[in-house]
Amino acid sequence: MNSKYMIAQQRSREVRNSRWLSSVIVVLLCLYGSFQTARADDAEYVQVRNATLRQAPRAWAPLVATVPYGTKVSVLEDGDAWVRVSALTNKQGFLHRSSLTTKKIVFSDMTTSFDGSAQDVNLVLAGKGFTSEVEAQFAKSKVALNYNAVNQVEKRKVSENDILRFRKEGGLE
Amino acid sequence: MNKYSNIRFLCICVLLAITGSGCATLSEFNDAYMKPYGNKILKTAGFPPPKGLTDAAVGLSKSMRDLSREEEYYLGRAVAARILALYKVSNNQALQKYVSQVGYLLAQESSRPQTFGGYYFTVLNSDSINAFAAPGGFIFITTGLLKILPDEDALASVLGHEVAHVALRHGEKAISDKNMNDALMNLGQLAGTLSCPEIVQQASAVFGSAVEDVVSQLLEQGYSRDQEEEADEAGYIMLVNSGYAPESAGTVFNILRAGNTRQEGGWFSSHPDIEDRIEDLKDLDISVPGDPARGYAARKKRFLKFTR
Repeated sequence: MNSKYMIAQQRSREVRNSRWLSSVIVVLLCLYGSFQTARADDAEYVQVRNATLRQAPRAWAPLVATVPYGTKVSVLEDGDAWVRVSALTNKQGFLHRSSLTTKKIVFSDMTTSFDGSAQDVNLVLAGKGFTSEVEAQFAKSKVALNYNAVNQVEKRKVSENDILRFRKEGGLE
Repeated sequence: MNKYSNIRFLCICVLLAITGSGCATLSEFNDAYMKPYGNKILKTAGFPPPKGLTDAAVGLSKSMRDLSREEEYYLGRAVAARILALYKVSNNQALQKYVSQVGYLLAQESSRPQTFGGYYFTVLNSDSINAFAAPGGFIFITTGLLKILPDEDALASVLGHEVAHVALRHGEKAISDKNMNDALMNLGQLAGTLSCPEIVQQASAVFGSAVEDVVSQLLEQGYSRDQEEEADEAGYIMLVNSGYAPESAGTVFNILRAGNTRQEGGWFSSHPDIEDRIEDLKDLDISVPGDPARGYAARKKRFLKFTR
Protein backbone atom coordinates (compact mmCIF):
# COMPACT_ATOMS: atom_id res chain seq x y z
CA MET A 1 0.00 0.00 0.00
CA ASN A 2 2.74 2.32 1.09
CA SER A 3 4.95 1.52 -1.88
CA LYS A 4 1.99 1.96 -4.26
CA TYR A 5 1.45 5.41 -2.75
CA MET A 6 5.13 6.25 -3.28
CA ILE A 7 5.03 5.10 -6.88
CA ALA A 8 1.94 7.19 -7.48
CA GLN A 9 3.64 10.21 -5.91
CA GLN A 10 6.73 9.68 -8.02
CA ARG A 11 4.61 9.43 -11.19
CA SER A 12 2.77 12.55 -10.30
CA ARG A 13 6.14 14.34 -9.86
CA GLU A 14 7.30 13.00 -13.23
CA VAL A 15 4.16 14.25 -14.90
CA ARG A 16 4.53 17.67 -13.25
CA ASN A 17 8.19 17.86 -14.26
CA SER A 18 7.54 16.92 -17.87
CA ARG A 19 4.66 19.41 -18.06
CA TRP A 20 6.92 22.11 -16.68
CA LEU A 21 9.62 21.17 -19.17
CA SER A 22 7.08 21.21 -22.02
CA SER A 23 5.91 24.69 -21.04
CA VAL A 24 9.45 26.09 -20.92
CA ILE A 25 10.30 24.60 -24.30
CA VAL A 26 7.09 25.91 -25.82
CA VAL A 27 7.79 29.43 -24.54
CA LEU A 28 11.38 29.34 -25.84
CA LEU A 29 10.34 28.03 -29.22
CA CYS A 30 7.58 30.62 -29.47
CA LEU A 31 10.11 33.38 -28.83
CA TYR A 32 12.35 31.85 -31.48
CA GLY A 33 9.40 31.65 -33.85
CA SER A 34 8.43 35.27 -33.38
CA PHE A 35 12.00 36.39 -34.08
CA GLN A 36 12.04 34.23 -37.17
CA THR A 37 8.87 35.77 -38.55
CA ALA A 38 9.76 39.41 -37.88
CA ARG A 39 10.04 41.32 -41.13
CA ALA A 40 13.59 42.11 -42.02
CA ASP A 41 12.79 45.14 -44.19
CA ASP A 42 9.89 46.87 -45.91
CA ALA A 43 9.65 44.28 -48.63
CA GLU A 44 6.28 43.12 -49.90
CA TYR A 45 5.29 40.76 -52.68
CA VAL A 46 2.94 41.07 -55.64
CA GLN A 47 0.07 38.60 -55.14
CA VAL A 48 -1.74 39.05 -58.46
CA ARG A 49 -0.64 37.75 -61.85
CA ASN A 50 0.15 41.18 -63.33
CA ALA A 51 -0.03 44.19 -61.05
CA THR A 52 -0.29 47.60 -62.66
CA LEU A 53 2.25 50.08 -61.34
CA ARG A 54 0.81 53.57 -61.75
CA GLN A 55 2.28 57.06 -61.74
CA ALA A 56 -0.19 58.38 -59.18
CA PRO A 57 -2.24 56.85 -56.36
CA ARG A 58 -5.55 56.66 -58.18
CA ALA A 59 -7.52 54.50 -60.61
CA TRP A 60 -6.53 55.04 -64.26
CA ALA A 61 -3.40 57.06 -63.47
CA PRO A 62 -0.87 56.49 -66.30
CA LEU A 63 0.91 53.13 -66.27
CA VAL A 64 4.58 52.85 -65.32
CA ALA A 65 4.97 49.10 -65.71
CA THR A 66 3.35 45.74 -65.13
CA VAL A 67 4.80 43.88 -62.17
CA PRO A 68 4.45 40.09 -62.27
CA TYR A 69 3.27 37.69 -59.54
CA GLY A 70 5.70 37.07 -56.72
CA THR A 71 7.90 40.11 -57.45
CA LYS A 72 9.51 41.53 -54.33
CA VAL A 73 8.97 45.27 -54.07
CA SER A 74 10.36 47.83 -51.61
CA VAL A 75 7.72 49.93 -49.90
CA LEU A 76 8.73 53.60 -50.02
CA GLU A 77 5.53 55.03 -48.59
CA ASP A 78 2.62 53.10 -47.16
CA GLY A 79 -0.97 54.16 -47.60
CA ASP A 80 -4.50 52.86 -47.04
CA ALA A 81 -5.35 52.10 -50.63
CA TRP A 82 -2.16 52.85 -52.56
CA VAL A 83 1.43 52.07 -51.69
CA ARG A 84 4.41 53.84 -53.26
CA VAL A 85 6.95 51.21 -54.16
CA SER A 86 10.18 50.62 -55.96
CA ALA A 87 10.12 47.53 -58.13
CA LEU A 88 11.84 45.93 -61.08
CA THR A 89 15.26 47.58 -61.22
CA ASN A 90 14.27 50.80 -59.60
CA LYS A 91 10.95 51.62 -61.26
CA GLN A 92 8.91 53.71 -58.87
CA GLY A 93 5.18 54.11 -58.73
CA PHE A 94 2.01 53.13 -56.94
CA LEU A 95 0.55 49.67 -56.49
CA HIS A 96 -2.85 49.04 -54.96
CA ARG A 97 -2.63 47.77 -51.38
CA SER A 98 -4.77 44.75 -52.32
CA SER A 99 -2.25 43.60 -54.93
CA LEU A 100 0.45 43.20 -52.29
CA THR A 101 1.10 40.79 -49.45
CA THR A 102 3.69 40.74 -46.70
CA LYS A 103 3.92 36.98 -47.15
CA LYS A 104 6.86 35.86 -49.21
CA ILE A 105 5.76 34.17 -52.42
CA VAL A 106 7.89 31.15 -53.14
CA PHE A 107 7.99 29.48 -56.51
CA SER A 108 8.76 25.82 -56.51
CA ASP A 109 8.10 23.41 -59.29
CA MET A 110 5.80 20.53 -58.53
CA THR A 111 8.58 17.95 -58.50
CA THR A 112 10.62 19.66 -55.81
CA SER A 113 10.32 17.70 -52.62
CA PHE A 114 9.14 19.27 -49.44
CA ASP A 115 11.47 21.35 -47.31
CA GLY A 116 10.89 22.89 -43.89
CA SER A 117 10.06 26.32 -45.24
CA ALA A 118 6.92 24.97 -46.90
CA GLN A 119 5.27 24.85 -43.49
CA ASP A 120 5.70 28.54 -42.78
CA VAL A 121 2.36 30.37 -42.62
CA ASN A 122 4.21 33.49 -43.74
CA LEU A 123 4.84 32.00 -47.12
CA VAL A 124 2.61 31.61 -50.13
CA LEU A 125 3.61 28.69 -52.29
CA ALA A 126 3.00 29.72 -55.86
CA GLY A 127 1.72 26.92 -58.02
CA LYS A 128 0.80 24.76 -55.01
CA GLY A 129 -2.56 23.91 -53.50
CA PHE A 130 -5.71 24.47 -55.59
CA THR A 131 -3.92 25.23 -58.81
CA SER A 132 -3.62 23.96 -62.35
CA GLU A 133 -2.63 20.47 -61.20
CA VAL A 134 -5.80 20.02 -59.13
CA GLU A 135 -7.86 21.72 -61.84
CA ALA A 136 -6.59 19.23 -64.43
CA GLN A 137 -7.74 16.37 -62.20
CA PHE A 138 -11.04 18.07 -61.33
CA ALA A 139 -11.78 18.67 -65.03
CA LYS A 140 -11.87 14.88 -65.47
CA SER A 141 -14.62 14.47 -62.85
CA LYS A 142 -18.21 13.66 -63.75
CA VAL A 143 -19.47 17.13 -62.83
CA ALA A 144 -20.75 19.18 -65.79
CA LEU A 145 -17.97 21.67 -66.49
CA ASN A 146 -17.14 23.93 -69.41
CA TYR A 147 -13.53 24.99 -68.95
CA ASN A 148 -13.29 25.63 -72.66
CA ALA A 149 -15.80 28.48 -72.34
CA VAL A 150 -13.90 29.84 -69.32
CA ASN A 151 -10.69 29.91 -71.37
CA GLN A 152 -12.55 31.79 -74.13
CA VAL A 153 -13.82 34.30 -71.56
CA GLU A 154 -10.27 34.86 -70.32
CA LYS A 155 -9.01 35.46 -73.86
CA ARG A 156 -11.29 38.46 -74.17
CA LYS A 157 -9.18 41.45 -73.17
CA VAL A 158 -9.98 45.14 -73.48
CA SER A 159 -6.99 47.47 -73.70
CA GLU A 160 -6.59 50.22 -71.16
CA ASN A 161 -6.63 52.78 -73.99
CA ASP A 162 -10.04 51.51 -75.14
CA ILE A 163 -11.39 51.78 -71.60
CA LEU A 164 -10.02 55.30 -71.18
CA ARG A 165 -11.67 56.36 -74.44
CA PHE A 166 -14.92 54.73 -73.34
CA ARG A 167 -14.68 56.57 -70.01
CA LYS A 168 -14.12 59.91 -71.71
CA GLU A 169 -16.98 59.42 -74.17
CA GLY A 170 -19.30 58.67 -71.28
CA GLY A 171 -18.34 61.86 -69.45
CA LEU A 172 -16.95 59.79 -66.58
CA GLU A 173 -13.51 61.40 -66.20
CA MET B 1 -2.55 12.42 -19.08
CA ASN B 2 0.12 9.77 -19.32
CA LYS B 3 3.76 10.09 -20.16
CA TYR B 4 3.21 9.34 -23.85
CA SER B 5 0.56 11.94 -24.37
CA ASN B 6 2.97 14.44 -22.84
CA ILE B 7 5.59 13.45 -25.35
CA ARG B 8 3.06 13.75 -28.16
CA PHE B 9 2.00 17.18 -26.98
CA LEU B 10 5.62 18.27 -26.77
CA CYS B 11 6.33 16.87 -30.18
CA ILE B 12 3.46 18.77 -31.81
CA CYS B 13 4.59 21.95 -30.08
CA VAL B 14 8.13 21.48 -31.34
CA LEU B 15 6.88 20.97 -34.87
CA LEU B 16 4.67 24.01 -34.70
CA ALA B 17 7.48 26.12 -33.36
CA ILE B 18 9.89 24.89 -36.02
CA THR B 19 7.46 26.10 -38.65
CA GLY B 20 8.27 29.59 -37.36
CA SER B 21 4.61 30.28 -36.82
CA GLY B 22 5.08 32.13 -33.54
CA CYS B 23 3.01 32.30 -30.37
CA ALA B 24 -0.25 33.48 -31.80
CA THR B 25 -0.68 30.37 -33.82
CA LEU B 26 -0.72 28.12 -30.79
CA SER B 27 -4.13 29.38 -29.74
CA GLU B 28 -5.24 29.38 -33.37
CA PHE B 29 -4.00 25.84 -33.51
CA ASN B 30 -6.27 24.97 -30.60
CA ASP B 31 -9.28 26.76 -32.04
CA ALA B 32 -8.81 25.72 -35.61
CA TYR B 33 -7.72 22.24 -35.09
CA MET B 34 -7.92 20.71 -31.63
CA LYS B 35 -11.56 21.68 -31.02
CA PRO B 36 -13.10 20.35 -34.21
CA TYR B 37 -11.01 17.26 -34.27
CA GLY B 38 -10.84 16.56 -30.54
CA ASN B 39 -8.13 14.12 -29.74
CA LYS B 40 -7.86 12.80 -33.26
CA ILE B 41 -4.73 14.75 -34.06
CA LEU B 42 -2.89 13.08 -31.20
CA LYS B 43 -3.76 9.76 -32.71
CA THR B 44 -3.14 10.60 -36.35
CA ALA B 45 -0.03 12.56 -35.48
CA GLY B 46 1.20 9.65 -33.38
CA PHE B 47 4.74 9.28 -32.24
CA PRO B 48 5.91 7.34 -34.25
CA PRO B 49 5.32 7.40 -37.24
CA PRO B 50 6.99 10.73 -38.00
CA LYS B 51 5.58 10.88 -41.56
CA GLY B 52 2.02 11.24 -40.25
CA LEU B 53 3.11 13.92 -37.87
CA THR B 54 4.83 15.87 -40.62
CA ASP B 55 1.73 15.76 -42.78
CA ALA B 56 -0.45 16.83 -39.88
CA ALA B 57 1.83 19.73 -39.02
CA VAL B 58 1.86 20.91 -42.63
CA GLY B 59 -1.92 20.60 -42.63
CA LEU B 60 -2.11 22.59 -39.43
CA SER B 61 -0.04 25.45 -40.68
CA LYS B 62 -2.16 25.53 -43.82
CA SER B 63 -5.39 25.50 -41.82
CA MET B 64 -4.36 28.81 -40.29
CA ARG B 65 -4.58 30.72 -43.52
CA ASP B 66 -7.12 31.69 -46.16
CA LEU B 67 -6.96 30.48 -49.70
CA SER B 68 -4.23 32.37 -51.52
CA ARG B 69 -5.23 34.74 -54.33
CA GLU B 70 -4.00 32.17 -56.81
CA GLU B 71 -6.20 29.47 -55.24
CA GLU B 72 -9.16 31.85 -55.19
CA TYR B 73 -8.63 32.26 -58.94
CA TYR B 74 -8.68 28.50 -59.57
CA LEU B 75 -11.77 28.15 -57.38
CA GLY B 76 -13.39 30.92 -59.47
CA ARG B 77 -12.45 29.21 -62.71
CA ALA B 78 -14.11 26.01 -61.53
CA VAL B 79 -17.27 27.85 -60.44
CA ALA B 80 -17.30 29.68 -63.79
CA ALA B 81 -16.86 26.33 -65.59
CA ARG B 82 -19.94 25.03 -63.73
CA ILE B 83 -21.96 28.13 -64.62
CA LEU B 84 -20.89 27.99 -68.27
CA ALA B 85 -22.00 24.36 -68.44
CA LEU B 86 -25.50 25.67 -67.63
CA TYR B 87 -25.55 28.94 -69.57
CA LYS B 88 -24.44 29.89 -73.05
CA VAL B 89 -22.15 32.87 -73.56
CA SER B 90 -23.59 35.51 -75.90
CA ASN B 91 -21.91 35.61 -79.32
CA ASN B 92 -22.43 39.35 -79.55
CA GLN B 93 -18.79 40.49 -79.22
CA ALA B 94 -19.66 44.20 -79.33
CA LEU B 95 -22.06 43.70 -76.42
CA GLN B 96 -19.44 41.69 -74.48
CA LYS B 97 -16.89 44.46 -74.95
CA TYR B 98 -19.38 47.14 -73.97
CA VAL B 99 -20.41 45.40 -70.73
CA SER B 100 -16.76 44.66 -69.93
CA GLN B 101 -15.81 48.30 -70.26
CA VAL B 102 -18.53 49.38 -67.85
CA GLY B 103 -17.42 46.63 -65.48
CA TYR B 104 -13.74 47.61 -65.59
CA LEU B 105 -14.60 51.23 -64.77
CA LEU B 106 -16.30 50.03 -61.59
CA ALA B 107 -13.74 47.38 -60.64
CA GLN B 108 -10.97 49.99 -60.77
CA GLU B 109 -12.80 51.91 -58.05
CA SER B 110 -13.30 48.85 -55.85
CA SER B 111 -11.31 47.90 -52.78
CA ARG B 112 -9.62 45.29 -54.99
CA PRO B 113 -9.03 46.70 -58.47
CA GLN B 114 -6.95 43.69 -59.44
CA THR B 115 -7.71 40.08 -58.62
CA PHE B 116 -5.13 37.38 -59.33
CA GLY B 117 -6.35 36.69 -62.86
CA GLY B 118 -8.29 39.94 -63.40
CA TYR B 119 -11.99 40.71 -63.74
CA TYR B 120 -14.05 39.26 -66.60
CA PHE B 121 -17.55 40.47 -67.41
CA THR B 122 -19.57 38.07 -69.51
CA VAL B 123 -23.05 38.32 -71.00
CA LEU B 124 -25.03 35.08 -70.92
CA ASN B 125 -27.81 34.31 -73.37
CA SER B 126 -30.71 33.70 -71.06
CA ASP B 127 -34.18 35.09 -70.51
CA SER B 128 -33.81 34.58 -66.79
CA ILE B 129 -33.11 37.81 -64.97
CA ASN B 130 -29.83 37.27 -63.26
CA ALA B 131 -26.30 38.44 -62.48
CA PHE B 132 -23.70 36.65 -60.41
CA ALA B 133 -20.05 36.68 -59.54
CA ALA B 134 -17.70 33.72 -59.12
CA PRO B 135 -14.67 34.10 -56.85
CA GLY B 136 -11.63 35.74 -58.37
CA GLY B 137 -13.57 38.07 -60.67
CA PHE B 138 -15.70 36.08 -63.13
CA ILE B 139 -18.87 38.16 -63.36
CA PHE B 140 -21.94 37.19 -65.38
CA ILE B 141 -25.08 39.04 -66.42
CA THR B 142 -27.95 37.63 -68.47
CA THR B 143 -29.47 39.23 -71.57
CA GLY B 144 -32.76 38.96 -69.65
CA LEU B 145 -31.54 41.37 -67.00
CA LEU B 146 -29.92 43.69 -69.57
CA LYS B 147 -33.27 44.01 -71.36
CA ILE B 148 -35.09 45.38 -68.34
CA LEU B 149 -32.39 47.86 -67.29
CA PRO B 150 -33.09 51.40 -68.55
CA ASP B 151 -29.57 52.80 -68.98
CA GLU B 152 -25.82 52.38 -68.51
CA ASP B 153 -25.93 53.85 -65.02
CA ALA B 154 -28.34 51.12 -63.91
CA LEU B 155 -26.07 48.50 -65.52
CA ALA B 156 -23.16 50.04 -63.62
CA SER B 157 -25.12 49.71 -60.40
CA VAL B 158 -25.73 45.99 -60.99
CA LEU B 159 -22.09 45.31 -62.00
CA GLY B 160 -20.75 47.35 -59.07
CA HIS B 161 -22.77 45.18 -56.71
CA GLU B 162 -21.31 42.03 -58.25
CA VAL B 163 -17.74 43.40 -58.23
CA ALA B 164 -18.27 44.10 -54.52
CA HIS B 165 -19.11 40.43 -53.86
CA VAL B 166 -15.80 39.52 -55.52
CA ALA B 167 -13.73 42.23 -53.81
CA LEU B 168 -15.17 41.21 -50.43
CA ARG B 169 -14.55 37.51 -51.17
CA HIS B 170 -18.15 36.55 -50.37
CA GLY B 171 -18.06 33.55 -52.70
CA GLU B 172 -15.45 31.56 -50.87
CA LYS B 173 -17.20 32.27 -47.55
CA ALA B 174 -19.94 29.95 -48.83
CA ILE B 175 -17.60 26.98 -48.45
CA SER B 176 -18.73 25.03 -45.41
CA ASP B 177 -16.36 24.80 -42.46
CA LYS B 178 -16.04 21.09 -43.00
CA ASN B 179 -15.14 21.41 -46.67
CA MET B 180 -12.77 24.29 -45.95
CA ASN B 181 -11.06 22.27 -43.21
CA ASP B 182 -10.74 19.28 -45.51
CA ALA B 183 -9.50 21.52 -48.27
CA LEU B 184 -6.86 23.18 -46.18
CA MET B 185 -5.71 19.86 -44.74
CA ASN B 186 -5.38 18.53 -48.24
CA LEU B 187 -3.67 21.64 -49.51
CA GLY B 188 -1.17 21.16 -46.72
CA GLN B 189 -0.39 17.74 -48.06
CA LEU B 190 -0.12 19.07 -51.59
CA ALA B 191 2.31 21.73 -50.44
CA GLY B 192 4.36 19.43 -48.35
CA THR B 193 4.88 16.36 -50.45
CA LEU B 194 5.72 15.27 -53.92
CA SER B 195 2.49 15.61 -55.88
CA CYS B 196 1.62 11.97 -55.95
CA PRO B 197 -1.52 11.10 -57.94
CA GLU B 198 -3.45 9.92 -54.88
CA ILE B 199 -3.09 13.24 -53.10
CA VAL B 200 -3.99 15.19 -56.23
CA GLN B 201 -7.05 12.96 -56.62
CA GLN B 202 -8.10 13.60 -53.02
CA ALA B 203 -7.50 17.31 -53.50
CA SER B 204 -9.68 17.25 -56.60
CA ALA B 205 -12.55 15.62 -54.67
CA VAL B 206 -12.27 18.15 -51.83
CA PHE B 207 -11.97 20.96 -54.39
CA GLY B 208 -15.17 19.68 -56.03
CA SER B 209 -17.08 19.90 -52.73
CA ALA B 210 -15.88 23.44 -52.16
CA VAL B 211 -16.88 24.40 -55.71
CA GLU B 212 -20.40 22.97 -55.18
CA ASP B 213 -20.81 25.01 -51.99
CA VAL B 214 -20.07 28.19 -53.93
CA VAL B 215 -22.21 27.22 -56.94
CA SER B 216 -25.17 26.39 -54.75
CA GLN B 217 -24.90 29.74 -52.99
CA LEU B 218 -24.67 31.63 -56.29
CA LEU B 219 -27.45 29.84 -58.11
CA GLU B 220 -29.81 28.76 -55.33
CA GLN B 221 -29.43 30.05 -51.80
CA GLY B 222 -28.05 33.53 -52.42
CA TYR B 223 -25.80 35.50 -50.12
CA SER B 224 -26.65 36.35 -46.53
CA ARG B 225 -28.47 39.59 -45.82
CA ASP B 226 -25.33 41.03 -44.26
CA GLN B 227 -23.30 40.19 -47.35
CA GLU B 228 -25.93 41.80 -49.59
CA GLU B 229 -25.85 44.95 -47.51
CA GLU B 230 -22.06 45.05 -47.63
CA ALA B 231 -22.15 44.60 -51.40
CA ASP B 232 -24.83 47.32 -51.72
CA GLU B 233 -22.66 49.76 -49.86
CA ALA B 234 -19.36 48.89 -51.57
CA GLY B 235 -21.08 48.81 -54.97
CA TYR B 236 -22.67 52.19 -54.35
CA ILE B 237 -19.29 53.74 -53.46
CA MET B 238 -17.81 52.33 -56.70
CA LEU B 239 -20.76 53.64 -58.68
CA VAL B 240 -20.42 57.16 -57.30
CA ASN B 241 -16.61 57.25 -57.54
CA SER B 242 -16.62 56.12 -61.14
CA GLY B 243 -18.86 59.05 -62.02
CA TYR B 244 -22.21 57.35 -62.58
CA ALA B 245 -25.42 58.80 -61.20
CA PRO B 246 -25.91 57.71 -57.58
CA GLU B 247 -29.69 57.57 -58.13
CA SER B 248 -29.21 54.64 -60.48
CA ALA B 249 -28.79 52.35 -57.45
CA GLY B 250 -32.30 53.35 -56.40
CA THR B 251 -33.47 52.92 -60.00
CA VAL B 252 -32.36 49.29 -59.96
CA PHE B 253 -34.02 48.68 -56.61
CA ASN B 254 -37.24 50.22 -57.91
CA ILE B 255 -37.16 47.96 -60.94
CA LEU B 256 -36.87 45.04 -58.56
CA ARG B 257 -39.80 46.37 -56.56
CA ALA B 258 -41.97 46.99 -59.60
CA GLY B 259 -43.43 43.56 -59.77
CA ASN B 260 -40.46 41.44 -60.65
CA THR B 261 -39.86 40.25 -57.15
CA ARG B 262 -42.15 37.30 -57.62
CA GLN B 263 -39.83 35.67 -60.09
CA GLU B 264 -38.52 32.40 -58.77
CA GLY B 265 -34.76 32.23 -58.36
CA GLY B 266 -32.29 34.67 -59.82
CA TRP B 267 -31.13 38.11 -58.88
CA PHE B 268 -34.37 39.35 -57.43
CA SER B 269 -35.10 36.51 -55.07
CA SER B 270 -31.58 36.64 -53.71
CA HIS B 271 -31.81 40.39 -53.10
CA PRO B 272 -34.48 40.74 -50.43
CA ASP B 273 -35.75 43.64 -48.30
CA ILE B 274 -35.53 46.24 -51.02
CA GLU B 275 -37.17 49.03 -49.05
CA ASP B 276 -34.64 48.70 -46.23
CA ARG B 277 -31.79 48.66 -48.67
CA ILE B 278 -32.87 51.84 -50.42
CA GLU B 279 -33.08 53.51 -47.00
CA ASP B 280 -29.61 52.23 -46.05
CA LEU B 281 -28.06 53.72 -49.18
CA LYS B 282 -29.74 57.07 -48.52
CA ASP B 283 -27.95 57.10 -45.16
CA LEU B 284 -24.54 56.83 -46.82
CA ASP B 285 -23.01 60.25 -47.10
CA ILE B 286 -20.69 60.09 -50.10
CA SER B 287 -19.53 63.15 -51.97
CA VAL B 288 -20.18 62.93 -55.68
CA PRO B 289 -17.10 63.78 -57.80
CA GLY B 290 -18.08 65.88 -60.81
CA ASP B 291 -21.51 66.02 -62.38
CA PRO B 292 -23.09 62.65 -63.17
CA ALA B 293 -25.52 64.38 -65.54
CA ARG B 294 -22.57 65.19 -67.81
CA GLY B 295 -22.37 62.48 -70.43
CA TYR B 296 -25.57 60.80 -69.28
CA ALA B 297 -27.22 61.12 -72.70
CA ALA B 298 -24.17 59.63 -74.44
CA ARG B 299 -24.09 56.78 -71.95
CA LYS B 300 -27.75 56.01 -72.37
CA LYS B 301 -27.43 56.15 -76.15
CA ARG B 302 -24.61 53.63 -76.26
CA PHE B 303 -26.36 51.41 -73.71
CA LEU B 304 -29.46 51.21 -75.95
CA LYS B 305 -27.30 50.68 -79.05
CA PHE B 306 -25.55 47.63 -77.58
CA THR B 307 -28.32 46.07 -75.56
CA ARG B 308 -31.45 46.48 -77.65
